[in-house]
Amino acid sequence: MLLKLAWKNVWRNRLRSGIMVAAMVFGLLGVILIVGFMKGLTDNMLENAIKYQTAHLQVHNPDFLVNEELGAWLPDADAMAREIRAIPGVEGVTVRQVVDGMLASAASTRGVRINGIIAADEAVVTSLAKSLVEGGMLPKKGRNPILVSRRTAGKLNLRLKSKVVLTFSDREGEVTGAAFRVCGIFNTPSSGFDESNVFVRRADLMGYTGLDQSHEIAVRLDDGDAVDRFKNLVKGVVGGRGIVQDWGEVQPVLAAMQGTMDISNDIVIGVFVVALGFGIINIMLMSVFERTREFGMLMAVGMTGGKVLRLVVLESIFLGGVGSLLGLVAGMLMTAVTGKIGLPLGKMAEGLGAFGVDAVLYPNVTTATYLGTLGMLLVTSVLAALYPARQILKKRLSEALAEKH
Amino acid sequence: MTPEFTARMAWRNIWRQKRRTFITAGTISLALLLALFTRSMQEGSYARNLDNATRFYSGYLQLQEPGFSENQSIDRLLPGGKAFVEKIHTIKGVTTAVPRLESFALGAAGERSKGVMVMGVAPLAEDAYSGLSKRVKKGRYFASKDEKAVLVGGKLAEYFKLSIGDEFVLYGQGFHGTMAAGLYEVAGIIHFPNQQIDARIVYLPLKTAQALYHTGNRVSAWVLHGKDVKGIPRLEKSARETMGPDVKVRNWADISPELAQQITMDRVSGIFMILVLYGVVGFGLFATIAMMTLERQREFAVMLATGMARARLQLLVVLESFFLALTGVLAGFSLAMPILLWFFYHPIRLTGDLAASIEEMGFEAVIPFSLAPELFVGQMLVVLTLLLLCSLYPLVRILKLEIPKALKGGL
Repeated sequence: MLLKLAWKNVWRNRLRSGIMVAAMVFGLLGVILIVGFMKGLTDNMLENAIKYQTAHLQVHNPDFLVNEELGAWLPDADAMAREIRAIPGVEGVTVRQVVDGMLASAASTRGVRINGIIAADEAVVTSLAKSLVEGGMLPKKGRNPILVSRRTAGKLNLRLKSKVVLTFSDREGEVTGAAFRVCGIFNTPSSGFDESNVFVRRADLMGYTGLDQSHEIAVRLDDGDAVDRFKNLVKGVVGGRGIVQDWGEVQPVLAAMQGTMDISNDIVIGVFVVALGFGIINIMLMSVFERTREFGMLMAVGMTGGKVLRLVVLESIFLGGVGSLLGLVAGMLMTAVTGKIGLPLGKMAEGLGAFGVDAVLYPNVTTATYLGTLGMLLVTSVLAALYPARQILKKRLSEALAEKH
Repeated sequence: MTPEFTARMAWRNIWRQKRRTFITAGTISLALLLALFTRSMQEGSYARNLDNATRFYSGYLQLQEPGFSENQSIDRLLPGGKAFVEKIHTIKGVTTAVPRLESFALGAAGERSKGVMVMGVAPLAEDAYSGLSKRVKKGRYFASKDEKAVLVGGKLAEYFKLSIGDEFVLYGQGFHGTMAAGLYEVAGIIHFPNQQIDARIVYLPLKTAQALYHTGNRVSAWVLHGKDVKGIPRLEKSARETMGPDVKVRNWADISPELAQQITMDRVSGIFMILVLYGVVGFGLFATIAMMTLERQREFAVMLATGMARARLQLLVVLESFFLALTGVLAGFSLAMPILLWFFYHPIRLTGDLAASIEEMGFEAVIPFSLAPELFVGQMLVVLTLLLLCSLYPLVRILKLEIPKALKGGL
């Protein structure tokens, strides 16, 4: 009875309730777009970092983490890698020798991290091979092939088959160098990574450094959500020989960013819920006060104060509920569509490249966010009804009945 | 009826329903407060970061040899002599011009080596411009124009395990294919918030760097600064006209496109959020104005019937909406001003993970606020636009009001 009455009351003033519902749909669409965009952005950033840079787990010599020097190699790296690869659920393992050095062409020079890799293993662990825009992966044969990024190639005036010179210190601390030939040009979403990394065959690099050991093991898992479990399994293999880190530990800044993004999204949602709450209070006040006399009459014929309160709260919930549901459904549709076709970032993509973000972004909103927003709005609707209801219940019956409006 | 009288009537009318006016004005002021807070914070950070960040690297503008920007080749240099300096100072709006010689080299100390970014600077001029000596955390700044000393970034020093007085070797490619090599003493260790730079940068006195690369009195760039960020386009135009086609003029956004785009991105998303918020508030304002119109149809009819001109009545309702919005705007400003003033003089200093991630991006972990008048004017314009849009409804309603029907109406 009360439910039916409340529902009908909401639609007595179609224009006003319509405005409120429109406000909620508009506001929620905006919020969902913002939140979805931010979430899509950070998800993309993390995904790319894992895909192109960190993989899920990495193993290093603890000294290497303090200082990436040639002498801080990982004992038995290849043997450990074989054991890790045998763990069910591990998709791929790659072992790298890493040395800092300088890349020079006739045009210019750059400081880079030289990654000595085994091409076949690397392809399973990172998406380096997929990010090649020209040429191919490091071939098995041929003299000293090297992969450079498109950014580096541009700065150093390099093309496929261009010759470059790598200079670095060898095992004895002597500066050594060798000529390499560009066999492929890669382009990952992260401009910072691209500028500072080149890839060569591990065997070639070992020949010049005089060190037949490796510094880094990177592990890719089938299931990216099970990182913690596998971290322990890999720790079991590695033992005291090295330190196992997950991607969040390798890139703490990214992990921190994800946390910051969650908080800032919650703040945005909170701000909008408050703004919409004010809107609902406004509407409820109007709707209650123009019916002062009606409420007086209802109470005069025996409706209790509690029932009046419940009636007003129900009206508010219906109003807020209809607005929230329509808004959230519209938001879901929008997210589904933009999540499919993606939002092209155009000119801004380059700036975001500093964070390792793709040029097309896919907004993403979790079910928890939808439900949380809906819950908050319903609670706000109830709260928004209390003030108007209290005002009406405070009135004396005779006054309420005398109100003309 | 005089305009003053109409205004007084409008003012009284909005207070006939105190609660409604309070709530509507309240939502406007709240939106305004949030908008001002966000925008002031954003623009404050941009201005500060721009002025800071550009001093250390791009400057407002850089003059370069036309081929240099493509690959930063050590062969593509500009003159560093007096005649050229005098020409630069004829550019209108230039406050500072400092020379730099930027290149790459392989740094080595002990058994380690690493590619580093070499920056040759004029010790006195550079310090006056970018305050480089303040970045020295250990040791000292350059003492003479041509001493064989280097300042190295903190992370780089960590990598090489360098301490003050240690020897540091630079190898590289010099001018026109010559071999560049030199042995230097570490005079100081400097700290840069941007870790990528901190791990790569080596400063030399300009004359020392010129000797290392055998460039003679040449530089890779003249870095120019003007009075403020707003004057950059004019400065750029003047620089182009003065320097002619043999010198390339590049602005900071061209040299650091990432920074420019991050700012655009951040600004656009901030403005978008605020506009959506204003949209929500606008609906609230509209609901109030619509109700103020609808519940007074009979009142309006009586006024029209007793001889009030429709235009006058329209003026009255527009004034009502205006006062309503104005109350909100004034309340918003008076709420926001003390907060903004406080943060303007006491900028927020961030700590913890957030600070680390901001420094990682190369910014200071400080959130300064801006009190630029454009911000306030911008918010006023948004509210005014909302008001105009919302006022259309009562205007049309009054125009179409049928007096006899409305007189009979119950409301």
